[in-house]
This record gives sequence, C-alpha cells and structure tokens, in this order.
Amino acid sequence: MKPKQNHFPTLSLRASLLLLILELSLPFWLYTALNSEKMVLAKLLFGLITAGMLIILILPENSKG
Amino acid sequence: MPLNLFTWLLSLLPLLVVMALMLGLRASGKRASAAGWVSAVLVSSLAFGGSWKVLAYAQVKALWMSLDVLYIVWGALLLYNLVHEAGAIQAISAWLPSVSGDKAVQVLLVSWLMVSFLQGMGGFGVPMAVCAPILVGMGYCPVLAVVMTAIGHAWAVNFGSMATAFQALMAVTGLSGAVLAPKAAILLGLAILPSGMIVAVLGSGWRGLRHTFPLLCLVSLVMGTVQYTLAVNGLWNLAATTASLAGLLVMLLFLRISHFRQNPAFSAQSAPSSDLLVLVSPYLILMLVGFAVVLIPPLNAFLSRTAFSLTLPELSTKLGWITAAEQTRPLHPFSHPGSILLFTVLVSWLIYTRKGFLSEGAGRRIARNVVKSAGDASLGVIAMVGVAAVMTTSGMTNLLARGLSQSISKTLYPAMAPFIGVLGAFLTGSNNNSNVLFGVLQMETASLLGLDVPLILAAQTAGGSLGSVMSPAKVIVGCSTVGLSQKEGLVMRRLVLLDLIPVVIVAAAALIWSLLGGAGG
Repeated sequence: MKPKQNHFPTLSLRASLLLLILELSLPFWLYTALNSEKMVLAKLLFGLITAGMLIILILPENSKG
Repeated sequence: MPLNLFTWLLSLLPLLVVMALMLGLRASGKRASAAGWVSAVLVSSLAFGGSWKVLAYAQVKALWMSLDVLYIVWGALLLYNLVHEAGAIQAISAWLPSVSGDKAVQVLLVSWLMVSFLQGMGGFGVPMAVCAPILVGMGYCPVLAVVMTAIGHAWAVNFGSMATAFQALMAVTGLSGAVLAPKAAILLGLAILPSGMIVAVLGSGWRGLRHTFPLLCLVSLVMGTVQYTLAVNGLWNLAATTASLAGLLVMLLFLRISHFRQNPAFSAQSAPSSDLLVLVSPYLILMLVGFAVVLIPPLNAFLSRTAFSLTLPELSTKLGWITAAEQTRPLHPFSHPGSILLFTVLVSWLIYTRKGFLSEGAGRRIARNVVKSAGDASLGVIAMVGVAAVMTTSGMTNLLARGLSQSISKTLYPAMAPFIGVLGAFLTGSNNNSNVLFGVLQMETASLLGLDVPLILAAQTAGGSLGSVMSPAKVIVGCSTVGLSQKEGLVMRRLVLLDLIPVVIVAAAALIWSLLGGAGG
C-alpha cells in the first residue's frame, strides 16, 4: 500500500529567508507610517507582520530546505 | 487590570503556550515563539485593552531589541562556520585529549571553563554556539552538548558580556555597584560548583564527578573568589571573564602536577602546534579586539560616535496601563559586538587564505550554512522578543510579577526573588532585559516588605543569569551550530529541570541569608 502523500505546503529555506526579510523590514516601515500618522498604511503593515507570524506558526518546516 | 487568579493566568498564557509547544510537543523554537506571539497579541487585545497601535509600537520596539541580538548571532555564526571550514573545531577536539586523557576533565575544560570565558566576549547563546560543536567533535550527542554548555556558563552571564546585565540593574534601580555587587557575587559564586558538578555528571557520569570533585571544588573556589574580589572593587565588567580565565589556568596547572596527567609524554604533546595556534587565532583576535574596544576609552569613544535610536511615544492601553515615552537603547554600529565579530572574520579570513586552510568553494559553503542556521534562529528570536514587548507594553508582565510578589509571604519572598529573575530571562532571553523588566518591581516589593533590598536584587540578577541560558531565544542560537535547528524542544526538555538545580540553591541561600539576619544589612 502506498504511503499517503502530504501535499500541504511547507516552509522552505527560501520562504523562511523571505519571511525574515519581511519581519525585519516591515516594522521600520510601520514606525515611519505611525510617525507620519498614515494609520491605514500602518494597519496594513501590522496586518502583514501578523500574517508572517501566522505563516511561521501554521506551515510545517521543510527539513530539506 | 485587577490582579486575580484569572487575570494572572491569562498573563501567563503566552509563556505556557511556548513551554507546552517546546517541551511537550517538541515544536521548533520559531514555531513555538510564533505561537507565543499570536497568543500574546490575542490576550493583549481581548483582555488587556491593547489597541492595534500599542501592539504595533510593541513590534517596533521588539525589532529594535532583536537587531541588537541578531547582529551578534549572524556575526558569531559567520565566525563559527569560518573556523569550522578551516578545521579549527576538529583540531581543538583532537588536541584536548593531549591536555588530559580524562574525559571528565576534557568536558569540564570546554563546557564549564571555556564557555564561561567566552561569555565575557558576548552572550546571547554565542558561547554555546561555539563550544557545543567542539563537544560533538569529542563524541557527545548534540542535545547533551548544548545542555552541558548552557548549564556550564549560567553562573557567568551576570558579570559576563562586560557586565551589561549588572549595569542594567544599577541603571534601573539607581543603586551603586558598591551596594549591589557583593551579594550578587556571593549568590552567583554559590552556583559555580553545582554548574560544574552537573556538567561532570552529564559528561562522564557519577564516577567522573567523584574523581574530579576535589578539582571542581578548587577551581570553583578560585573562580568564586576572583569574581567576588573584582566585583566588589568596581571591576564588575571583567569579573566573570577573569574568574573563568583564572579557573582555566588553575585547572591546566593542576593537570600538570596531578594524577589527572595520564599520558607520560604529556608536556611535549600538550603544547599546541603552530598550525593549531593559527587555526584558533580567530578567537585570540576576537578577545584582543573585544577587550581593546571596551577597555581603551578613546577608541571606544571614537567608535561609539555614531549611534542610532528610535523615539517611541507614551503608550496607553484601553484599561489605562501606561508605558512612558522613551528613547530606545542606542545602537552603536561600529563598537557593537557584531562589528567586532565581523572584523575578526575579515582578519581571520585573510590569515586562513594566506596559510591555505580554506579550500575552493569555502565562501559559498560558509554563506549557505550561515543562512541556513541563522535564518531559523533569527525568526525565533524576533517572535520571542515580540512576545516580551507585547506583554510589557500591555501590562501583562507587571501583573505576573505583582501576582508572584503579593502571593508570597515576607519570609519566603527572598526564595521567590530568583524565580522572578528566571521568569524575566526566560521570557526575554536575556539577564539584562530581566533586570530591566523586574529590577524596580523587586526593589519596591523588598522595600514594602521590609526586606534587604540589595539581597533581593542580587537574587533577581542571579536568577536572571541562571535562567537566561534556558530561554528559547538562547537555546535556538545554541542549537544552530550542532544541527538541532527545529529540534530545540529536545534540548529544552532536558535543560529546564537541570538548570533549576542551581536556581534552587541560590533561592535557598537567599532565604537562609535573609532569615539569619542578612536582612539587617
């Protein structure tokens, strides 16, 4: 009997790096948006940071990278 | 927010989530930290009145705090991968048996003394990241290697890293080093021997502990005395580094004259070869440059001229918890330990290339390994520091500490104080941040209860020092060089219980000290 294939997307090394770059750069844009009172943009940026955290939490890691 | 069992447990929830995922479900550090971050944001917004603006500024603050750590982490991993590529780790592992054929002594040299000495150069898990691979090279399993190096240097965190944690305690409490240092040095001195004993048992069993016990006692006494003497004389910046260096020298001297010297050709063989000296030269350069930047005031002033910081406004939750407006800790790009590491990497690269220690394609291999291990570790650190920032700006951390301090009687509070330090360090990954978070709270509680303030603050920073090594943020870094990325939960499961042993000893000592009338001081 064939083992069940898992088609759930995984977090590859490249995706992890992209996430890292986003999590490092977005707060700077967020800070600028907050200081210049651009609240809609700030909310959007905070939403993106939250989405990044959710991706880290939900997607399983790919050990092959 | 009123303090009751329900609100206290809510405040604790993000930490419970991280602990449960890492210890129970063996989740990776970054996933557990991300889960902690999401739960902290949910608890803050749903129960603590944390508006999106408060949470957004908390994330900005978290990034700034993370940058300080990540710069060191990337630099340390770059240095580690360079020396590994050149063969230095293998060479050190091969040289150690010639110093002593005794496995227990070898393990103490690396995971008790060398790791503590490196803590003087820079913390944040880097000493573990450097020493754990050497133990793996000696044949230890990676999990045990990280656990041993973590426990081995826990006593040196407070006065290590140029005593940044101790300086933070002085800064937030307004008390001088002369008042705080003696009791802090004594409490941490008491943790030296248990740390070494645990390492000896883990590395070579009870038999290994039995026959190294006299040596352990001697070296512990020397290190404790040196650390105390330097700390009470205003040299707290160098107290742990000098103490561990003194310990290393005493052990090597002892090995030359005692029965531990099993090899008849010991003296000739134990002298490092010129190749080995070149291979370990990056660590010598790191020490030299690190001390020069810190100890030469004109050089330090010149390199520290450029500084960046952010201005954060006063933040208030819907429930009225106020975080005062503040300037973030300045980032000095040129005198930062991360820059010192990068400079060391550059010089070491030139030396290795000149000596022919780097084969073709070394640069590409080093870059790939650094990105692979540092990428995951960085995400974990950002998320975990984010948890701490959200909890602090929402008033959750304060509520946790208030709950602990109010539910404990005056008599027992000195025994509780180190655990509050542990909590802060576990949460933030740093003894320094634990002191910033809880220093004032501990001082105020001690004053209200009529307890000896320096003793309680000493217990706080001792707990922070011992507890920081089991924080997810540090364990993630420690695991990154021994192939345990995404398996940090395995380390945490073994580390937490063992690391609590020295904490309990410090707690008992603080309690006895307080009961015996140290409180009068």
